[in-house]
Amino acid sequence: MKKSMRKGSVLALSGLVLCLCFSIACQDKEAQSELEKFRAQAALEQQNMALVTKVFDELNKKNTGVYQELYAPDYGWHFPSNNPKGLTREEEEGFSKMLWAGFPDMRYDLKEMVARGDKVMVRFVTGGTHTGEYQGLPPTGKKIEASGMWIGQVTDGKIVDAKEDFDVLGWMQQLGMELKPIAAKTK
Amino acid sequence: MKKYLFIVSLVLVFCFTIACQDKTARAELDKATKQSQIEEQNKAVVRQFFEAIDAQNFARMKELLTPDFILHYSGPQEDVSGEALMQMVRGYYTAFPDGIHKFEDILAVGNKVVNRALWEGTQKTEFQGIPATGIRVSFYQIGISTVVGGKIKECWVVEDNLGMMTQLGMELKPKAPAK
Repeated sequence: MKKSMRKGSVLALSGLVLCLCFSIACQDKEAQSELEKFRAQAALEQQNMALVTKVFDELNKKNTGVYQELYAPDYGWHFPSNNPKGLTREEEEGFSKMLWAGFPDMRYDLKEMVARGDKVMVRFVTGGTHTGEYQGLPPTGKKIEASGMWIGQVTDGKIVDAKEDFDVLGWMQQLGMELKPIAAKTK
Repeated sequence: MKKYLFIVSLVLVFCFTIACQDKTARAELDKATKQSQIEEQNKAVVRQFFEAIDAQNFARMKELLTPDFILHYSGPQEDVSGEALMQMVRGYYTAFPDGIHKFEDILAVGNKVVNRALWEGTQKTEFQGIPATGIRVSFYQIGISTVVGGKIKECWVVEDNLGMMTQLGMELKPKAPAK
């Protein structure tokens, strides 16, 4: 009798311990899956940053293939960022070629990069020597630089959208331009 | 009897292993959750700062900046202190009293907050040599702020400065040669 009671309590105890085990394991599962989500997110953000780094590296090598390879076909470049109709990747390629003609040594220097969700933000400084014609300006030989901010959106390893603002005024002022009231309007 | 004890101890060992895994996972999860809470708070700080600018609430602006705050602003300007920023804001909002930031993108990572905002304002008085035009300008700015202890410590801002001036009727011309 005594022996069977002890047997019973041992059984009850093991039952309780098992219940405890399952409840802990269950919590663990929930925590694990939430943690997996955080980890997957972080991994994706790292991949997106690697992609954006590659894009700027390739642009610094003047590799125009990057537009076909790493930009989505329906990519839109909003520059300045209030431009509602984004430029196509072909138009952006044309813009880059125009810059490289004016500033053959032009390069992007990435100063800061952060990624969250499908967005990657880059703060950069662009600089170069004005040795070719640029927007109607004959070469001045001036070495200039200005800063910009770029927020790209990445889907399936391709850049699908980018919003950019750049210190265009500072860039042009360094080339000897200045702001004047528009002549046609004032006269 | 010995058999039961053996089983119970096995189960106990099993429990501890799981509980132990759970602890590590929990700790990592707690860290990630806490981080995302801080990021949400940091976003709120940056939002409140821009709201204080629009409301011309200089006391609030001061509260939200660290004493050694530095703004790196696009254009040929030197780095700007908190005091100098407030002077700049006074200048802008005297000319554009209804100036307002409209947030479009905001994201936070660690102690950084990125925001892209549309700024709109109607030019009521003279601004940088341009007499009052009554024109409502709108242009975007993108900024990245470092937030420490609920205050903004550093900020980089680039905005479509040429776009703004073009809307006010200016254009780029070669500088007249010095006489």
